[in-house]
Amino acid sequence: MEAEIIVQLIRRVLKKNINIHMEDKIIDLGFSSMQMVQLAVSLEEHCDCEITPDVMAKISTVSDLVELIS
Amino acid sequence: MNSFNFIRLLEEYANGKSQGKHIFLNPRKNVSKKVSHASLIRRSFGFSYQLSDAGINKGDICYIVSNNQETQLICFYAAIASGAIPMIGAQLPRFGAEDEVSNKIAYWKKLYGARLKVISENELKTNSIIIDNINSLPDALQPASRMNVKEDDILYLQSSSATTGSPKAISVSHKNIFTNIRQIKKGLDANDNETFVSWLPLYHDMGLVGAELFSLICDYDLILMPPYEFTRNPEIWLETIFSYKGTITAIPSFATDYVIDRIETVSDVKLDLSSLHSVCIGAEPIRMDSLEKFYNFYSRYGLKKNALVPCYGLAESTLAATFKPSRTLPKSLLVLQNSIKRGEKVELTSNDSNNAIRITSVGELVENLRCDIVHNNKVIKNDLICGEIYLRGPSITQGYMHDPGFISLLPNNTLSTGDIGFMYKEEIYILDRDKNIIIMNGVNYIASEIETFVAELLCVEKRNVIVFENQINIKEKKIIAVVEVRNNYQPGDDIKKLIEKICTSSIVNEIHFISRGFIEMTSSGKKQYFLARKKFEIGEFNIVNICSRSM
Repeated sequence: MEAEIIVQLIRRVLKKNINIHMEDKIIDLGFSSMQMVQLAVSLEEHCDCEITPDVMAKISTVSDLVELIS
Repeated sequence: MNSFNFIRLLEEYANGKSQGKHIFLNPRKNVSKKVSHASLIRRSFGFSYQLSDAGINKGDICYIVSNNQETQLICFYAAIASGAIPMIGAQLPRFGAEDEVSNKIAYWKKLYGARLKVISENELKTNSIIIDNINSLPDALQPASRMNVKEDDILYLQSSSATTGSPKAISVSHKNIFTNIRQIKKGLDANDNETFVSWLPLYHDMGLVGAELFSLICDYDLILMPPYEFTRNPEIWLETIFSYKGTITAIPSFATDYVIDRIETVSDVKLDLSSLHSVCIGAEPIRMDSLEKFYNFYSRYGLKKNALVPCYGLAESTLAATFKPSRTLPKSLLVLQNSIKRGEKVELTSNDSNNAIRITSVGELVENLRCDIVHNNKVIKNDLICGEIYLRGPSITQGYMHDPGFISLLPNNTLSTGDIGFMYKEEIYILDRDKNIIIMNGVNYIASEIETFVAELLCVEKRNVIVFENQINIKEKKIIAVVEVRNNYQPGDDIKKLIEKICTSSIVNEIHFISRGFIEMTSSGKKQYFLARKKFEIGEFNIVNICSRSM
């Protein structure tokens, strides 16, 4: 369930319907710096948590994102 | 500000000779933390003893890794007080940035070896000195290291933004910083009681010198908010100016468009920006239409047009080299595109046609700084002649530190800026960086102007467009526009017509549509042209579609 949410959020921010795998590195999905921040904001709105730059720095893969909102 | 001894200034502040303060904001938690300059320096001095105990020696280079601005500053001043040379590491708010930080540390470690010491809040993948609770640091009135400071001693290292290659560490001396701060104060016609509001990152020279060191040395109040919070919600920056009656602020040029794009639709904002006398705008080419758009929107909230201050500077000149003269309006000139040739006079025009481009003045030189416009090793004396900008003066830094203790000196103490421009009536007009000027049939074209043209026609963001020369085969030189689009992008007939227009009415030969995320920026948001050209040459762009004049 969370995995599906993450995939949808990523696609919405990227505005493209790409294939996303859990082991994908977020940085390889084609985000600009601004889109990275947009994704963090979307995640915060969704899971009602704070995602600081320190938290972002430690999250590397899609799977890490799923774990974050689980 | 008369002596060139930064340690002495810190000692005076620690002992109470200061009225100013920092206010560190955390807008999301609605927290503001007031810290007097005196308290900040006392805790920094306290931490300097811990650094000495941890093995920091005189001349070591302290690389600071933190996202917390108060921590960054304590580490910065503590490193100075322990006899070391600090450098604040760039950390962008990106997923997976921990790996980027590790790579950067490895890069500097390769240059500086055992002399590089890392200070961080957390355990990193490398040995580092940990700073854990900045609020419980002991106060001290004296620095850990007693030093006989000479004015040319290196105070700190500023990492260049790597627009044209690998990052370099620029060595800034005590004399450089005091000189440039005095120049900035005079250039902005600032008084003794200013309030600076900044969201700029402290690893960037505009944030470190323009906001932090300017406010500290002049003993102003400085309101600092994390850059990340500005990116999330730029309105917070303007609300803070309103709340604290900010008088000075500074932004890179892209921020005017960014703010307008993000909040133009908000109609019910409570703001008063009439307290501002200087909104310094620089770091990138400045577009007059962006300034006009920003002013047209915020004039209703009391923003004065003469408060918009285009300026020009480089880390190699400590920071500031020019400012728009205070209390004047920003100026620009319309010049004929095909008259821009190095060593020749640009032609002014009053006709805003396709062949005319508007160049914004970045103002007059700061005091005691000399500027030469140079072409073919000859200094050009006349107005409106294009050439490379050379700067000389006491704020020009000594050079780059490639090894500990070794600085590659700038020849004749003269900085060849790599920027192309001309003088007109005592003011400087910058066309672009040398490497971003495209020469075609003897005419110089400005890459950023073509990017604007392409972006506007194709209705994409300018940051998603990059234009450069294909240098694979000089005989068949082509001008390539690379546009970031979604992966399944297929240009329709309407777009093909626009592409035809671009290729017939500009020098662009081909437009390559690529996947998003391939145009790389420096930590200060500048496009990395050399990297784009290299990626293009080795076929590293994920090309979605190619269109050309002959399609």
